[in-house]
Amino acid sequence: MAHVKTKPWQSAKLTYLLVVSCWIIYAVLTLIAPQAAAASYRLSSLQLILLRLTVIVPIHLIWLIAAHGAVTLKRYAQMIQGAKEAAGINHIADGLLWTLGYLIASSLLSAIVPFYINLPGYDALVILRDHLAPAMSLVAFWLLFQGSQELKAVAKFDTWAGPTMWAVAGFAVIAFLLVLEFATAPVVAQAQADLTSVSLVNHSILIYTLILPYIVAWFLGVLACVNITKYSNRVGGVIYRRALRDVVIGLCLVITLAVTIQILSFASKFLLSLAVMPLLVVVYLLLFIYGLGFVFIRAGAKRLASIEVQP
Amino acid sequence: MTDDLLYRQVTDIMEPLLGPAAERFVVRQIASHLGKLPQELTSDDLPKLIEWTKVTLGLLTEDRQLIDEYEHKMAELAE
Repeated sequence: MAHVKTKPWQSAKLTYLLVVSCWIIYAVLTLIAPQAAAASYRLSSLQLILLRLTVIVPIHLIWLIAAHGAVTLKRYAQMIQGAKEAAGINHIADGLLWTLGYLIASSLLSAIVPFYINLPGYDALVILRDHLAPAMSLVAFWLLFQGSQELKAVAKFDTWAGPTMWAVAGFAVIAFLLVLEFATAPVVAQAQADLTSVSLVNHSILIYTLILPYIVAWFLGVLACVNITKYSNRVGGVIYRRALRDVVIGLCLVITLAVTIQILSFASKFLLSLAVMPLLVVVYLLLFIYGLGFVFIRAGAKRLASIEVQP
Repeated sequence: MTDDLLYRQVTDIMEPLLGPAAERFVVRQIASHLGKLPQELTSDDLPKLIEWTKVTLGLLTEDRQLIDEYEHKMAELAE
């Protein structure tokens, strides 16, 4: 017999506190960042300040929206603790918190790096910054995939059917092209401010430490999307499915956008020489949709929770 | 009917509406409105349970047809 625990998730306040603290640190670091670090963008001081402000404010809003969505789903998972689908939802909520952690950590490290340009340890910091992102996204997508696998046991469906094979085939082609492009790209001398791991570590090593973790993470993300969508189509309960619909839309948006943002960031950092402004516009548009995904998750999780609290 | 069976049958009727949340919902309804454990549910409790669950389901969905179908199935069980 299922038992419902109504004890709220204890770490919600801590999560919000961490997000706000990180944002304050990020805002200060971004506003006082050395001018030299942005010299390559060819912007005037005023343009630079405006650019920094247009980055700081939306970033904070997106972090908060994402935290709110993930915390609401986590609370729902705690609320149904002991139920057969609870472990899956809990892992998915953890995965969402990790995707947020990935966003925050990579933004913070990118803001810290310019301060170390002429100091010892700069190269190590650049390598750490570049490797933290794939490591954290690997954890995030593994948790999302793990959660989706646990939901599979509840609704009993087959991941590897029809459209999944096409999605995986498409993904394999993109992954292959990415590895090929990376392996064959010439090492170009980079300005100290724009230094990446490509100039510091051998390509053959980076394929295993950078490319492979990214590809595995994205692959897990694709499979998580497939499983979560199939779960929502197969699970019983008209009212439950309607409540779940927004969570599924949100999760698929977040996973797809997180993968797309990572591919774009990766390509712009390691493969292409894109103009900074158009790239920023595209990345922030994607981040906005990413935030929208969390709005859907929050709305759906609240609707699911309302089923559990009706006396 | 005073054993686990009746409660299971109510849960089965609720599952097409609430899926995995059905069992938890039924347990809560029985506890809140009848003050009983699920296995203590009897046929005599069903009319009261139907009325309360109708009200609660009305808060979760505006789809009257769904609620009417549920009421119909529960009424058949109560007969």
